[in-house]
Amino acid sequence: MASSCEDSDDDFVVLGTPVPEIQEGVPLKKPTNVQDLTARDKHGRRRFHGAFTGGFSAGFFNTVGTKEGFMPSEFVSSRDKKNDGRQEFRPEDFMDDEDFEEHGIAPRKFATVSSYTSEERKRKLLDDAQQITAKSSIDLGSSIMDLVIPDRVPIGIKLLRKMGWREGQGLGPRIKKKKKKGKKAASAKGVKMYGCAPPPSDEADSDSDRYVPEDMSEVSFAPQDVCPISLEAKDNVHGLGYRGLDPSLALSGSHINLFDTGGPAKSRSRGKGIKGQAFGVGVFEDEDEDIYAQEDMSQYNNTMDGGKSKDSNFGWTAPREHGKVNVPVSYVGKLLEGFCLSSKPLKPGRKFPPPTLPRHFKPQHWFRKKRITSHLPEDIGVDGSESGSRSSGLTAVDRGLILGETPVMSSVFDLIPAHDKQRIEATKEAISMTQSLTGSEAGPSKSATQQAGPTESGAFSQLSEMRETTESTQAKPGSFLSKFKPAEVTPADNGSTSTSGAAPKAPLFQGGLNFQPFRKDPVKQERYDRYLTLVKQGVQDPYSSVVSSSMTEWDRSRERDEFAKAAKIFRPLSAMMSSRFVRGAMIDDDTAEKPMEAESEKSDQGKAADMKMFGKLTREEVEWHPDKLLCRRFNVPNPYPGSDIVGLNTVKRDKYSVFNFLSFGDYQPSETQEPPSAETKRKNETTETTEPETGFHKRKKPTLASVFKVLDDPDFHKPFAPKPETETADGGTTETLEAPGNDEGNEKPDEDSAPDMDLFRAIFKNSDSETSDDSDDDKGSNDLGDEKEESDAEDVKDVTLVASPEEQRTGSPSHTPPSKEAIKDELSPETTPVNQELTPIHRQSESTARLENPFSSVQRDPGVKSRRGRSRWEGKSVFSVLDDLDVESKDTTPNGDSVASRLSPSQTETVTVDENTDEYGPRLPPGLSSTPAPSISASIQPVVREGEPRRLYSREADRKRHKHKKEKKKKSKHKKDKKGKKHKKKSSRSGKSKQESSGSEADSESSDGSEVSDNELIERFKTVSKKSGLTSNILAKKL
Amino acid sequence: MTWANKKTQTLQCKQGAVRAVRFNVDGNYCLTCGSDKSVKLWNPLRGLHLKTYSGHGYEVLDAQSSGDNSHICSGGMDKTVVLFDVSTGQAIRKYRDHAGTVNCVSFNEESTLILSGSLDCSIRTWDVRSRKNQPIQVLDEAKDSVTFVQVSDHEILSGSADSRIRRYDLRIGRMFTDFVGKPVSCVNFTRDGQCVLVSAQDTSIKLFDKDTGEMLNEYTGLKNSNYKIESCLNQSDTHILSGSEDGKIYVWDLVEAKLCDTLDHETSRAVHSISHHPSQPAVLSACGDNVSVWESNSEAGDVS
Repeated sequence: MASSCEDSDDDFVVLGTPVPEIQEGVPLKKPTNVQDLTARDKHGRRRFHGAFTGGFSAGFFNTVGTKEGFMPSEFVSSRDKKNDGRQEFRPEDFMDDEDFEEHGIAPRKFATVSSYTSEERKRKLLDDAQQITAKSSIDLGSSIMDLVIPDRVPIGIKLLRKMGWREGQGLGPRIKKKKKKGKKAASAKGVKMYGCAPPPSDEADSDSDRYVPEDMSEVSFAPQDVCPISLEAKDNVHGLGYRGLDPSLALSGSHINLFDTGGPAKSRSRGKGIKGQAFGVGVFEDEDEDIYAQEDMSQYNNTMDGGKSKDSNFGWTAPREHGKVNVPVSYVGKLLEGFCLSSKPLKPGRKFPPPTLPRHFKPQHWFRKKRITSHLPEDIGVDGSESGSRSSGLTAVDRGLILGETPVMSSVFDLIPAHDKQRIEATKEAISMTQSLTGSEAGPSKSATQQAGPTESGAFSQLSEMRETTESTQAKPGSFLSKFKPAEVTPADNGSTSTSGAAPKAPLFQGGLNFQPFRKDPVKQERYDRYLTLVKQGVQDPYSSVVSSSMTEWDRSRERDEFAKAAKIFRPLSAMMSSRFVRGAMIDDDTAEKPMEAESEKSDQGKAADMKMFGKLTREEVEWHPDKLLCRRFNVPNPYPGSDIVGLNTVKRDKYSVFNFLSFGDYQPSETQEPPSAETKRKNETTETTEPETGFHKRKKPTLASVFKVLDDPDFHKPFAPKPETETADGGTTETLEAPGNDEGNEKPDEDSAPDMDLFRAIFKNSDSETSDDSDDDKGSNDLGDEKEESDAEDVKDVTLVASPEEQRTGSPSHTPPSKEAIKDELSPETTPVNQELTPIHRQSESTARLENPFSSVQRDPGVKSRRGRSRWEGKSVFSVLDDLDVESKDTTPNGDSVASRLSPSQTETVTVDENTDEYGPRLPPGLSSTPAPSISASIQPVVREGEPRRLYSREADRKRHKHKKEKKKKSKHKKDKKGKKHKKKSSRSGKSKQESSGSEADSESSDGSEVSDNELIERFKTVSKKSGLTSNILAKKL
Repeated sequence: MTWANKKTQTLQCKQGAVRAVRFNVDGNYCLTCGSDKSVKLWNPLRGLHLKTYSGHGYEVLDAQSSGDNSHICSGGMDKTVVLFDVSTGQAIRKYRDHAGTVNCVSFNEESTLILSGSLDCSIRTWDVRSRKNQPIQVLDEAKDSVTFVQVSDHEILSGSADSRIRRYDLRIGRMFTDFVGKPVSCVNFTRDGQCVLVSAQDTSIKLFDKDTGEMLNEYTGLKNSNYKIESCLNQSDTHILSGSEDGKIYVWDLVEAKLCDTLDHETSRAVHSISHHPSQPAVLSACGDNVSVWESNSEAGDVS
């Protein structure tokens, strides 16, 4: 021990690899990483290789992957030992000695050969002993042998054998077999079995393998040799039923049966007991997807229809079964999968009917009108008195006034000082008056009519009032402003005009509000008012409830038409404007709006369409250029090979431009503003018939449209009875009352309507071709006569057409010579002297002719002229249409003058061009004019007409006229305006009938009202104010 | 019976509301335009759905197949006109130049052009042969939505909501405008090309002489106030058929203007689109979400 103690190093047992000692000067070795460590075998060869070098040490001495490669087997074949190539290889041939080692894949170990085992040796010994004993005849007995030879049977078996057990028997106590045969027989006896017998019960089946004799009931048998159920005691701390990962299952590596439905397995896992995951999910959670679970086919779709593989089959679908789902035809909607329509429909929920509306209920809320007028002091006073009763009616202005504040201006009109306001009123009055005069060209002023007193029939005053109101309603801003100039004139005039009581209190543009077309006839006016209110309420056939019983049937129907037309026509400007714009929450007023709206949609084509008269009336044809390529694609030659226009040829005017609408009075269509040169050129055309075409070929549409005027005309449907009479009446002075409205026809047989008539005839197949021929003849000759009459043909054209028929008839002898002169005149328009010479004569003759038979021209040619002129007449004044029956029936005397009166303005204007003529004097007031009593007394008598017969007396006026050269210039300018006006009238004829609000026609219509220019206005004013003797003052102010 | 009078099939189109139904050129197939942005190709007489064409971005309002059945053009509320290849179902071209819903499309007779009428008051002509995306020509004379376009060999006929029908004659280079009075919902040439059948929002259908614009006949009885109801002529120009808003097809005799028959769909929905077989007495009508096929019940007898 001491030695051992001395040698202490030997005492310690060294385990592991010693840490190498740190040596100075030698750099430290890097510690080797785990991946750098390599497993090597006992020869120091590397045991594992990479995947590409053979994995395990591959090949003979790791030659796989090396240059040498796998060692080839040698091929040996000799004569006696042939190598037939079918060398049998054993697995061992491909193994190296490592594989045979203890840890190799085919370990080889040394073991005793079976012949050397104890069993074998015992048998050998036995055999040897038997041989020996048999020879020696000494029976040693098995017991000896057993003693000699060690028994190697296990002790358990030995013990069992001792207990009586034999090989092949089960363990356990012996059991007795129960008797079952008898039972079975008894059951078989008692129960009859039909058909197939059920298979024998499993008890019997289980016992059937063993034969049990009948009588050996007492014999007991050993139990069968079956493995007993092992009841394992729970010996772990896992949860009940938990089984850990079974390596045999997890790593079975066996075939996964995909086609095993696995239904029961799933149900098993969902069954009772706790199985599966170690950490269960909560009660309220779904079990997680078992991602390690075996897949089976239940997790796949069995059917192919679900997947929509669009592109694989390009969307083609197989034919489908029909009638699988029988959805009723009426059912619209998608039927949900798995649902079917119920046979009995749902009981609909209880419905509550909407409340019944009152009869006249309109679904619109109308705000109370308190806009402009409410700020006026008198209104405020009224409101203030009311305020006690209902304070809620007070506006902010009212309250402010109560508090003594100065009201806030909410209207431009509030800013106008009082006297200016007065002036505006007066101006308005004047304008309306003058416009009324323009309408009938020679009508007396309103005050004149008022003063005329009891003699007047009232018809004309109605006319003039109507006109006044229409024109005030249609007054447009532009024209209105231009008319502000004469405002200075008005204050002096105010007194006289205010007596008429027509000064409207309402703001300017609501002029139509208090329009009373039948003011002269209060009863009628009252009926009309009631009619309007009924119309507003939307009552059907409003006239029937208004009509008075004292009227005749004819009167009634006539008045009904009158009312309808008046209601149509006299609508306020605001309504007209509102038809152009989208309506806001409230508009200025809604008077008579409803019939307007209904009517405004109608166009000529619309009317034609309504009357089912398709064809020329509804057709338009324009040039249209298709694209070259379009033609080529259509395989059609290009209709316009040279042109590079595509689409429509013409540039259309924008109908809906705001400027078109705003250019009220001052705007004239371009045609009307043609330079005079064009006019003279046109004049030089000797054939008058071409003139309308040249002048109006552009206005084809309006003329077409005007056909419907004729249709609208009540007279149209009347028989043409007066026709023969008028034929005979040529040159005569007989007066016929039968033909109402013929005078209008006389007024304006303008040629523009001629094509209409033809067309009209063509369409309506009227048989009055004779009369139309006549009229055509008249036209031709008259036109010749016209030209001589007016050298300045610019504005003459329409007027001549107007004048011509009666000229032809009345003064045909006197006219023929001047007509030649006129032609001469046309050829040389500069020769004014001739013209001057001519005009007075002609004028004289004409005027005298007219004076002689003022009425003859009226009934001259009623059939023709009413036809031709109707449109014109409507365009001119609807009131004449409305009331001409009245006019004729009531006052027969002045009736004819209206015709002449229509002539007059043009004549006067032509005269004004000739400065030296004495004939000019139309502005003489009636008061100064001595002679023409009928003209004064007749309410219809227009101002200009008055002047005409008085030309001889008009030197006084002439004197004044010299002062007003400026005016004249304006007048000459105004002539153009007038001409334009004529054009407009023509176009507005259509507008009158339909009152349509759309497009340019409405424009022309609206511009109709503003035809009176400033100069003319002043002229009218003069005549008006002369009566009161204020003209000189006014003129002085003006100039 | 020379007109179709028996319902033989009902195609459950399953594409929402069917906006239009159109026979192809030879009448063996038909196209339905659905509000689910799809166009479907059917064999209507057997009731087979053959193919679905998708490529529109919104409801498809009209479609037509080309003369060789190789292409389909369609227009819809996505303001595009789409040209489909029939066999592959691919959208070959998409023309996007309209400023509004495309109401109607039509090939010309050679199927080299597509004409499309739109809510933007214009008809645009598209060249199928070129790859240009711009129209050849824009016919913008209409003042309101163009509701229907028909093409003959040298004419373009269009109906518009401004109550006019316009006929562009390429041969003589003129445009004829006829005022009808009510917004036009459908215009059709008769098969002899002499007359024009016009459906307007009215209680009647009118037959106009093409050259003069005069009304030749009027067929009354139907109800057409809100919808774009279509009308058509039968295969031999002897009868006139029209859908109606009371769920019926009205059949009139062309000459006598007598109502011959009404084909009741047993629904209160409007029958808005109909299309007549080019050679046989068979009519397709679109009502709600399905298409009904009507054939003459004596057709079998005629054949035998």
